[in-house]
Amino acid sequence: MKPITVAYLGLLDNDRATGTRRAEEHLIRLAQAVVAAAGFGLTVELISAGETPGRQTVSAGVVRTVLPLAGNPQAPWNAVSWQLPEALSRVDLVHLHDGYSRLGEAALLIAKQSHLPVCITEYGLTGHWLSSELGLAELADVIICHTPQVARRLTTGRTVEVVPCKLDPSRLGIPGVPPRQTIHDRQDGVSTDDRAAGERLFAIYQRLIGSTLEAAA
Amino acid sequence: MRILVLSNLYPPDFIGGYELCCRQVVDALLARGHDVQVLTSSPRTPCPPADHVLRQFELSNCYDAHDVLNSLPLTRKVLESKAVWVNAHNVHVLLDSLARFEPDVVYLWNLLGLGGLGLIGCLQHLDVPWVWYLGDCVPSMLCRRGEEVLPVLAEQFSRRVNGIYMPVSQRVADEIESAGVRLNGQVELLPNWVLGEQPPQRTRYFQPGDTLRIVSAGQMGRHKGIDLLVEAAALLRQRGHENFSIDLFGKVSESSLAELPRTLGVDTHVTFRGVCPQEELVGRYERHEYDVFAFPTWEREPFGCAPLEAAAHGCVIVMTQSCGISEWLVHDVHCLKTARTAEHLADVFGRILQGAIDLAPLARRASAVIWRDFHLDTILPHIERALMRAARQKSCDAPAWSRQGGADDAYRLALLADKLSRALIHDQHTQAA
Repeated sequence: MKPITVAYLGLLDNDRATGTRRAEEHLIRLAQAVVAAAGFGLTVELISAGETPGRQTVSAGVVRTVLPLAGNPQAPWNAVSWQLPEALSRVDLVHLHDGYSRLGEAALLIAKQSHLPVCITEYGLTGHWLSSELGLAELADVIICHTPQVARRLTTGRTVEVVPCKLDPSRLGIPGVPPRQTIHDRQDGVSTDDRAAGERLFAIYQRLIGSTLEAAA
Repeated sequence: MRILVLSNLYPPDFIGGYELCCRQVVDALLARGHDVQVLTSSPRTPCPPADHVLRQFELSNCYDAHDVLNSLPLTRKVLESKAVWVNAHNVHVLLDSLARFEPDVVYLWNLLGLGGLGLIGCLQHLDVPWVWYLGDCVPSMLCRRGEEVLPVLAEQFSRRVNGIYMPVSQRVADEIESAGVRLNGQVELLPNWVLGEQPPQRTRYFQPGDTLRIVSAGQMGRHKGIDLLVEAAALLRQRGHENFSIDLFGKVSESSLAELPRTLGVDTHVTFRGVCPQEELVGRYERHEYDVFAFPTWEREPFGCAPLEAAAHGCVIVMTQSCGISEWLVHDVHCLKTARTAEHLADVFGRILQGAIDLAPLARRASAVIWRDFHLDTILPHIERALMRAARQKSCDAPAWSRQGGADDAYRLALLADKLSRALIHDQHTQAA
């Protein structure tokens, strides 16, 4: 059977805004937990666009890919790459970890056109104007919330899954409410219950990829 | 069959042969008992209403050179993205029509100006079967930014878009693919056509000593080789030929071209006669007012309806040797093909004037083959079969636009693509500024 690849996008641009690696570290831990839950039969590719493109293996089953930037984005969250379609052509599922980066929006567009299953993590924060205005979370196959409180606030017809994960997204440096692109950035540490979150996410991915394959058959 | 036709323009609002052909096919399909609805743009000037025509699309007027050239660079880029990439309003109009009309198949024509990528993306997303008449390289034109095809869009188009294409010549298919856009699915060449009843055979043809009456019709621009035709007239006179006339019908797009006959001293032989309705032109061919139809068009000409009409009535086509229509007719059997220079055109006209080329057999053979193989009555069954083949591919389930979330998702994606493309253009513009 073809090994499964899941693309993680989003949050990574926040590190450019805050000058930290907190978002990347969070996603790597989450990815490692998912890979472990899958018995190392799954690859998670963390994708962003940046000035130093490249691809490196972080740990078994976790790959970090930086795509070449298209143009010179005005804000970290406006980064995009013409190579994104190619990068997504080799994945089975797309998980967007924020609802406000342009690369995430582009990935959503490409993934839906490619009939790839999409998960979007919803933190319950006002994000990018485009995502909020268009209600882009409604395009997700599954909306992931890290707390039941956020899940309860959602008014959506989409499947919502609570994947407990003790994470305060504002610590990752999310963009402020538009038009101001200020950064909410608290310095205290991030603590997560990665193992349980990984198992839960893996189960969701398996179900989505399984139903996509079924539909295609 | 229930057929939804998408076209950027629809007569009486039209620019050229693309839209006129669209109306002819629609009328023929209606006459054959199909249920046809045309979805097109708001007319550029008032048009009378028609039951089967909905003029609800918004046209980003990429055809209005004055408008385009006088726009600010940012406005121009935004207009261009709405014209070729995506216009969410038009996707909404399409979704609405799909839901109301419930077509078996969508028949695509020229999608430039409508945000064609968005429309085709929407149909692909919803698995709506379609057939695409390609009177020009529209798929690759939709993947452009400015004059260049964006490899990322060409690649995505090649990977995602799949259906039945009906280009009017191999040249069109080749040009699209050479731009990096692969036509996935089925590609079936189908020429343009003539309409009406076959007239009695022409009995009088040009004889040496007569005045050779040359005509050309269409857009009067250099890309159509009108300058070459005027220069050929000058060469003919230099070579001592006076017994010829060249009548040119159509809108002159360049003022320097209008002056050219006088500049070259052939204004007694070459006349720009302005725009002429199609019916009137056909009437002139029927009355055998001309001997030769000159078509020195650019080599990328997809087909060329005007010469076909003229040849159907006994006018011999003298054409660029590798333009679209030249694929369908044989040199020295049905027509005369030549290199695209004034010198070569003058050579051909000179040989006719001297009696070295007899026009009568060429005209008779071309007329016979056109009325037999290029009449819409002959072509239409091919079109119907393609439409039926596409319709049969339709899923047995409920139509995608009626499934929960199907149309909503498609519209959200169109809005996302529309706004994303504008955001990218604004970013690029800000950097440039």
